[in-house]
Amino acid sequence: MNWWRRLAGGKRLEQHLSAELSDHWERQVADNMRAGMNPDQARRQARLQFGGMEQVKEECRDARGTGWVESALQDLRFSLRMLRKSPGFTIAAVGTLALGIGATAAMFSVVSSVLLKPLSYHHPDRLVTLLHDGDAPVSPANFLDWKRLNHSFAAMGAASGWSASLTGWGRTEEIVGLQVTEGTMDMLGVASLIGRGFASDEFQPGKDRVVLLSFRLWQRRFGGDPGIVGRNLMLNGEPYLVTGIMPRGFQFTPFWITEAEMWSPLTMSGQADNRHTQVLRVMARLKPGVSLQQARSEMDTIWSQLARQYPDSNSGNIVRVDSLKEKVVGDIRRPLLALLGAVIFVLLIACTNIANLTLARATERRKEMAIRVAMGAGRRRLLQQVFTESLLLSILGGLFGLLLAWWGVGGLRSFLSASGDRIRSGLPRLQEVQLDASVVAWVAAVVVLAGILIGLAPAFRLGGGQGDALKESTRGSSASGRGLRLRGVLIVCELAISLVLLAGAGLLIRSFVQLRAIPTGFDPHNLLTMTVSVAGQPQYVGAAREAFYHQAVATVAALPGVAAASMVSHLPIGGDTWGTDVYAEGQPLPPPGEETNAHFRVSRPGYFSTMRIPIWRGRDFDEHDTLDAPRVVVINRKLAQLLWPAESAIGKRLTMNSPRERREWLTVAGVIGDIKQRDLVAAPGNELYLPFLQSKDFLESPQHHFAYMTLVVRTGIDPAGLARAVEDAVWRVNKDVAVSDIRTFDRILAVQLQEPRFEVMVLVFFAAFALILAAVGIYAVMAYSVTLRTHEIGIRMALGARKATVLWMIVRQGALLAVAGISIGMALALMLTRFLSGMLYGVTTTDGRTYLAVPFVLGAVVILASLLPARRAAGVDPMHALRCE
Amino acid sequence: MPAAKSDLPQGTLDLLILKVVNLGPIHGYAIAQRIQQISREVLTVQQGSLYPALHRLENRGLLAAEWKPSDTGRDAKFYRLTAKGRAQLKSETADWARLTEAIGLILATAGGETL
Repeated sequence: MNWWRRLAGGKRLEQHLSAELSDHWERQVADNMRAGMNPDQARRQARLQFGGMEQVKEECRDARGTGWVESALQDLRFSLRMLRKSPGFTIAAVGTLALGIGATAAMFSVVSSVLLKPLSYHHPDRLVTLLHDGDAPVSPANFLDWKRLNHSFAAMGAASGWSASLTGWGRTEEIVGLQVTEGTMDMLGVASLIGRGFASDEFQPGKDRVVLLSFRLWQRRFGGDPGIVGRNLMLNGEPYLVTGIMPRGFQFTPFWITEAEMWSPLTMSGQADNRHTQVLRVMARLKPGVSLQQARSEMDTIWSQLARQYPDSNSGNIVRVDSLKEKVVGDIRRPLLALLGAVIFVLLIACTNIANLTLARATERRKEMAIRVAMGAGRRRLLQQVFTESLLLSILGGLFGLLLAWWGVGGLRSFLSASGDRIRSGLPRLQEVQLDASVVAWVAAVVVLAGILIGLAPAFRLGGGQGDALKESTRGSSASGRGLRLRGVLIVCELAISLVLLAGAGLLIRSFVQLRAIPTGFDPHNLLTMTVSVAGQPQYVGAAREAFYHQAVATVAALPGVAAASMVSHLPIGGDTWGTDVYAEGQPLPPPGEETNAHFRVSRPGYFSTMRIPIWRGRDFDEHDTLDAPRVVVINRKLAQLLWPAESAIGKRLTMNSPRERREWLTVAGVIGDIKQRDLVAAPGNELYLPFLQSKDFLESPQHHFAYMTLVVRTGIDPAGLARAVEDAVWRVNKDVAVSDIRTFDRILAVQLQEPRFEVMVLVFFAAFALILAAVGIYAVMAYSVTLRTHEIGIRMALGARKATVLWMIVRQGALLAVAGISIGMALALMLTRFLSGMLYGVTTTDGRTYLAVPFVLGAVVILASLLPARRAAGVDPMHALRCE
Repeated sequence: MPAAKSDLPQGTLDLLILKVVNLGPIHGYAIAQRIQQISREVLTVQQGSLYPALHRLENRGLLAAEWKPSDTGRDAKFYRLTAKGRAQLKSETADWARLTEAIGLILATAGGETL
């Protein structure tokens, strides 16, 4: 009979054992009677011959080899009974653990999905990015040269941002996509779900009107109909053949325009000399056996050669080769690991608290344990019982914790995607966050560790002499000093860890407040923005395009609730950033690579007043600034002071053209205030604006990156509520233009703050949880100590101690613990908050205010938590307390 | 009770049980009786050692057991040898013979004194 059947058939085996032994006994009796004894004598003799029936049975049971499981089951049954008997303790312990383990599991699932899981491409660890300064795009000619000259890469591809109006298929919609160079999709090694990828002749000009769709776009707009493959879609007014559908979850690029929903070929013909338009994000696959380091040094060599060859365009920047994964998650690694560390601290506090509770129960159960010892239970068996109970608690906590984590991860994902943005999501790979097998494995490991941690303190207590316990009275106070000391140590640890978390949360809160208070230079509230694209409207060229934009703005401005409206090429903070070189008239040419750079935007009249950007000098553009009039420009104060530090910039002239080309002089018409251009944190840079009516590309070009403007609407009421009306107003002018990216500016700022908000929310939640646990823990210890000292307090009061003295005596005890915990915690916090340095803005990790406030808060909580038991102690009736003995 | 009763040497009970069971299916009480009879009342087997040993042998797969009607009219648990048990009996018997022969040799020659 195998081991499992022996274990499972326990009851039947017991019956057989009894039957077998009694059969033996009866035969013995029968034999004895046959030998001439009377029945009584026969039975007596048989009993003597047989020996201890129970002992024999026990030895037979041992022979089965299943004894340890049976004793474990016995312990388990007993533990369950104990937990049922004190539901208050059970709910408190399991609830605390569930929160602790749940938070840990949720945090781990974020870390696992974002940091640990490989990107979903073929051998993703061999993919790298090649970008200027690790971030900036590359010109086509440089890309082609790299591709031609390198020996490190098996494949190299580049992507350029693209968007197109989808018309003739229901609602007109601007769809975000990417154009990719030949071989880019093959380099990724992801095959299309349906249909085919691009053929190499489809990268020739004229044959490149083909498109691959994302799974989501296919589902969203075409209902998942496979018949769409092989048909033509009207994109920007031209037919594009759908060659295939990419599989679900395919994302490209993973670090920029992550929400691209379609991909189309990018032809490189005629680009071999284009070194000035830096629009390509370059990626490559390392050849087998080539290390990242080798690829870096080869690219350094190639680049220094190209920089010498083309100093005009290539000097002044470098090329950095980074692993693609690093590019995607590199910035978020430290914050996520810091949060994971924080949640482990929370879990430690939760375990400490439960250890404390169990310890209190262990003291109550001294008698039970002593009886067990008296009945012959070995030390091992007692430990087994203690750990069975603590493991049972942690397993229950783990199960509920998984449930909480599952719910929490769902909430987290919807929070993140609700505050996200299709171009820039603050947190990478958030769609991939999920509870998977690795999270369950992590929880299992945490459960075992937590079970052991919780059991350690009571197990340690078992070391004390149990023999005396039976002799003690129920209120025995003499033997409990040691338990109290142990609990004091636990509380000090708990307070120290809480302080670390509070300090971290405090620093992040201070940083977040600073971030939110950063002035943008304009008024971002009550501002609605959207992109209006005329790319699908070939009739809108020149005057016709101007007429459409003019009428659209006028219609929107006339809406009730709208105060003003205008248009700009790209929004500050939330939009693309284009740069240009600037040369002031009459000033010496700077050496190559040291030109003055400025952000450059195109705006329509009324943009500055709509945004409430102050005009310091001169004027805004107006309808007279046309191609027939003198060319004008508006610059910001920073650029004005840089170019003409001593005099007024108004009337001065500058040019954006390279000095080797024909110069087109622009007269400064106005100087505006400095605003944030790229993001909230970076200081405002140089900036210049061209009037829409003098900007030939934006007036006439059919290309998608010129054939749109961003509408900005200043509202007198909640801007989100006006979104529909504004969109409809544009469509009243022409129902076939694509309106997209409808966002309030507050929302754009929220996206900017998404990552810090996520970090601050998570850490504040952890710190609050830790603080509550610490308060509960200290309350429990103080209350317990008061109970133990009731007798003593009674004597003191009988001898004339006043209530205030008793009160102080107890509070002082708590205060001593607090002082110890806070001192250790301060030292720990100063060491550990260094890990937050990258996440802080405008606050140092040793911020004085935080380090003053946090111990104060923790101290106050400790005093409050010990005041309650202290009041109880002060209310002790001496007569009652003395009689209690 | 006979005075010349001996305790069993360590480990020999299993061998005796296997040997007795080898004669045919037999229940626990009869095994004890048979050992006592064959050894001419020199060896007695305590129930406290017999049954744990039987169960251990059964769990090791050397014995198989079956509940069958017996002479008393009640069902009794009859043990029989498995193939594995027979092999074990053979090797243990050989071991025992070698051991006793060796001990006998030493007792016969090593001492100068005869008992």
